[in-house]
Amino acid sequence: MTSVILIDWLEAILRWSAPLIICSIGEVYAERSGIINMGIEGIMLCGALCGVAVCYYANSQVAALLACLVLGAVLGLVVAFLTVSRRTNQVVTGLMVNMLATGGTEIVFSMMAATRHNRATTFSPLFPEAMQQIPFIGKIVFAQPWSTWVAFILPFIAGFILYKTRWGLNVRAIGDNPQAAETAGISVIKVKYQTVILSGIFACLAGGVLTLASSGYFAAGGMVNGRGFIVMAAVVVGGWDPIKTMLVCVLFGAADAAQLRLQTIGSAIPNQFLQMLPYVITIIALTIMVKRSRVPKTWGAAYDGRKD
Amino acid sequence: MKKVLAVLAVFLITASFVFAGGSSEGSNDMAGSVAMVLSGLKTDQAFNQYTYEGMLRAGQEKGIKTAYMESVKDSEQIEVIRQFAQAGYQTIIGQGGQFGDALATVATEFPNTQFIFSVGNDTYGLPNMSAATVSYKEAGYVGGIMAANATKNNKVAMITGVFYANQSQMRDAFEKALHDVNPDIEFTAIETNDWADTDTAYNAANALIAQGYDILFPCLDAAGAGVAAAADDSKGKAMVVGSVADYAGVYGCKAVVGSVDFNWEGLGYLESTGELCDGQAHEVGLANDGLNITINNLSEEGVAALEQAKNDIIAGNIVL
Repeated sequence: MTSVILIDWLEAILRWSAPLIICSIGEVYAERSGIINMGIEGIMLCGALCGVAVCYYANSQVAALLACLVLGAVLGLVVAFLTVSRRTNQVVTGLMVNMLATGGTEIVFSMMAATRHNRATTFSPLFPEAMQQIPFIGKIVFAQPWSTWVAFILPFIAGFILYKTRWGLNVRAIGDNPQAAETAGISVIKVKYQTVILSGIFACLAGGVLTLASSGYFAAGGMVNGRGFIVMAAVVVGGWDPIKTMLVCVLFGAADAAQLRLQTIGSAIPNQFLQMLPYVITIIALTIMVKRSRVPKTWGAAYDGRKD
Repeated sequence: MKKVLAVLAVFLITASFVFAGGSSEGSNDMAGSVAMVLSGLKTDQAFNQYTYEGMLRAGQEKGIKTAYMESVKDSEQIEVIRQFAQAGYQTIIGQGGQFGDALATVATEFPNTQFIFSVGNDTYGLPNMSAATVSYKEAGYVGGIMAANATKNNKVAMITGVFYANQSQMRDAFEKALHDVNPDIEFTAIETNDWADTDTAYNAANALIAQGYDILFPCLDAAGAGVAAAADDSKGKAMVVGSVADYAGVYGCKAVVGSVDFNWEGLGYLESTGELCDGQAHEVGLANDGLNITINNLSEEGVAALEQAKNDIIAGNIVL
């Protein structure tokens, strides 16, 4: 029985972490360029609804993901316009986006009765079902939907782009010293727009994965349940590095998957404490890692190109 | 152009708050008038919508004025309830377990107004405050009888958001029924800490199925869809005994033994007619149409046991 629980736990860790990792990719870019997109919680919620609704009505997962991509870009553009062009407070803007998303998804979902009663088609595993019979690793690795595989490859691509390409260098330069970057001929506003739009796209796609890689249902209100905020903490703990952030997301996924399983095996620890476990681990990790992290120098600060 | 876009953004944000509104219907006569405060949308096709529809039916049949406010946040509860009391509504219903304290606070300020704490058991000792709920205990017991007669592995699990008083009573009654049928049945219960997170519910159900639990008894709101999906994905390893909603009808779930569906519309109707305004706590159960039982995949013996349990509860032979 112990090995069954262990295999199930390891399988759940990978699946649970996938939406967090996808969401974190865009947030790393945005924060590296100096913009904190706090609206990713709400954008994930929009993506969760968009994924289910388009997949159900269009009967196409490709269409659902494309719709998430477009919606994410639009929401990212709104956040970019407010925080970059209008230089609004990034925390307040993020909170307003989250509130707007909560109310907006409730209203839209109330008009989509069919998606409440009917399940959208969920992502299938990437490998043949027979491979799940391989002892131990079969279920852990080969039962995963294809989105999990994509999620674990993306941070390496994102890391390559951030550290090995001219655009990645521009993003890092803008986050650290936008005035110098501007002097060097880089369009600071343009790059900030690009990174914030990317954070919207990845958050929206992560929301789509959240629903389409598991239950295939959307529920208004608490569907995302703080995952966006966890990603924001993971980005800080991960030192604004895509691969380290991925590992932090896995750590959170492990804690969350563990607390459910500990409840079922009659743990002497009260349920309430077990449910706190992922958040306690996040706070501990934040406390330990934050001092070691190299914060982008203009992190969260509005950029005014007119200043010297 | 930038100013236009800025104004548009502000309008969109403001609109999101305006949509979470309310209104009144019916005659202008305040005799018997009733106002309902909802935590969610009146179109949620769940608890909020059905209790609201019960109030509307009462309003039409009895010719009384009705009003509602939907999507009321915890921080807004007292203010919204107080506004209805100041407007002269004679009965004010807080629809949901989270409204108890706010109702009690305003009830002390307006002793001539009646307040109903819906889905609650506590009247806070106030003469103008009543409580009403469907019987979670009876739902738990009949659910347990279905589960005990359907399990093949003798392993049964309950999944809920949080074990509040009602859910705890339901769990105890469910476990009692399991062991009344078969003392060897292994039982566990799990909290997901959220009522709407379908993904966590899906994963919680999968964790239980992996450990051999073959009957799942969810007591969830919208997140119940996640448990239904996990049972359908289990390829026959697990089935659901639904509660709160009819899992076959609402979620199209195929792996369903049966469901104990709560009659929220009937509860909303009873609360709105003023029949429950006596300062007491009321439970609406099998005897008075508070629960509907739907059977989908249950053996003949199971159906007979269920019928017997139902009759025994109504006759008072089973004390929960």
